Amino acid sequence: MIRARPTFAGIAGIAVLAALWELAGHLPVLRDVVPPLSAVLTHLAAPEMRALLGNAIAYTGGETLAGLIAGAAAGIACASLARLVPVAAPGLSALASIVNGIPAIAVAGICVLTLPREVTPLVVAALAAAFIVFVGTTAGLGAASAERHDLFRAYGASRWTTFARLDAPTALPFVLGAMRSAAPVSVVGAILGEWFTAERGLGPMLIAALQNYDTVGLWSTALACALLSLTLYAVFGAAYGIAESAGA
Amino acid sequence: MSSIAVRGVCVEFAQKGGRRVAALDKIDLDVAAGSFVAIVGPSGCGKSTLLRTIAGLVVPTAGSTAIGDARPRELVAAHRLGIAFQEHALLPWLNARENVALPFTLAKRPIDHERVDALIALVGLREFATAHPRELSGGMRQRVSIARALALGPDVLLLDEPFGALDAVTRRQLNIELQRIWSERPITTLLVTHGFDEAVFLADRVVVMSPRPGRIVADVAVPFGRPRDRTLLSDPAFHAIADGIARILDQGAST
Repeated sequence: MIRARPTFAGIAGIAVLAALWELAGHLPVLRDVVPPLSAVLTHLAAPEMRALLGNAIAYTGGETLAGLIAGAAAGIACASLARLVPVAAPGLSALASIVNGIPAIAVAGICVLTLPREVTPLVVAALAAAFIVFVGTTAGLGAASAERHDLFRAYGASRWTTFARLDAPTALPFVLGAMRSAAPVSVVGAILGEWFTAERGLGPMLIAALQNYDTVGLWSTALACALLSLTLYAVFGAAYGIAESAGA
Repeated sequence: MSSIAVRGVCVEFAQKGGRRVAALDKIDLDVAAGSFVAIVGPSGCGKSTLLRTIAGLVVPTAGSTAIGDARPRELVAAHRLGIAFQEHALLPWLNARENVALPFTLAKRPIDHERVDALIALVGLREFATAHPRELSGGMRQRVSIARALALGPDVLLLDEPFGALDAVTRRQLNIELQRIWSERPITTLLVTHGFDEAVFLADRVVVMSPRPGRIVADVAVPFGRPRDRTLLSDPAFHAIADGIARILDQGAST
């Protein structure tokens, strides 16, 4: 019963939002700006649209996932290095903050100038995720209790053994939690990257809809973007849940 | 098996603002090889700091500690130390057997599975060998933690309030269990506790400490033979010793 409640609340929340959207779409003042949800769903249900959006989601989803994993790997590597070589920690932390401070749109521009065009979405998605995962991993690697550390010290464990057998397993739920938070940001990064370079994916579809004053198309694509974000969030959320209950 | 020698150990901690506080003041303590010594005292008397100094987890400001001929650092490097804490410090992603085997992994030695199974049986957890810590009761977790402390057949066993977080009934049961386990394979043991009954029931000697700074104020011999069983807990002579220790601590508190 207790487990069912949040699910019920979630479904109820979505239903209320959907009803409000539908209502807003029928308001004369919002005509041509917000199409009713039913119009968007009808648009999405058309076979050629389904195929088009399906391909776009698959393409952007692939870019996002690859970028998220690459960014997470970079974030984990930096945080691990900082843990294993404490003297390098302040420098790595400053570097991560600076890289994070560059606006994604500037990163995309720099990528276009310096890298093969097709990798831009992946790189922007990766950089968007890297800092979040770096921060989460850093917190996780420092989260093992003082007594567990005392235990490892009293048993003569080396720094590497302590890292591999204590810090890293302790950090796993933190890493997955950070990847969950980073997933929607990576989706935005990938789409932004696509605006600059790609001919496929959700980014170009958004631009095409905008340029053609295709309001229903724009909302449909936006809905698809949200769906992709939520799916990735849910997948990493589930992984986080499993890891967290195993570490309890 | 080794003796423990503590010579003139002082430990100071720096507080906020740079003020230094003495946690231990010129402690001398000898624990004979194969004996069981308990340290009792009120919270903050430095008894855990003393144990942690012997384990090499705290570096003394002055004085030295040795186990046999070895300094703490050498003993730790040789993986000759067994230790258990109040917070069981089990790794939640490992099951009971894997937790008991952890010291082998930390010492980079092949796991002696027979020994691990024997220790699991010794602490009465054969049916729970594959259970994870979250599936075990507080008392069972401490059993695992004690089996883990014995895994490498250490020279000394250091127990830092291992039953401090348990309820009275479980604690009493584990006292009886630990007494049985210890009588089966005696090993030089130092137990830090705030329970007088626990100290008198388990130890050959009870060392009493007073706080600020931590000093040894009494050293009480416990004359009962082994093995000891629960009948000892209702023996008037047992209570006379425990009451005597309580009086020493009361005097310390009133001065």
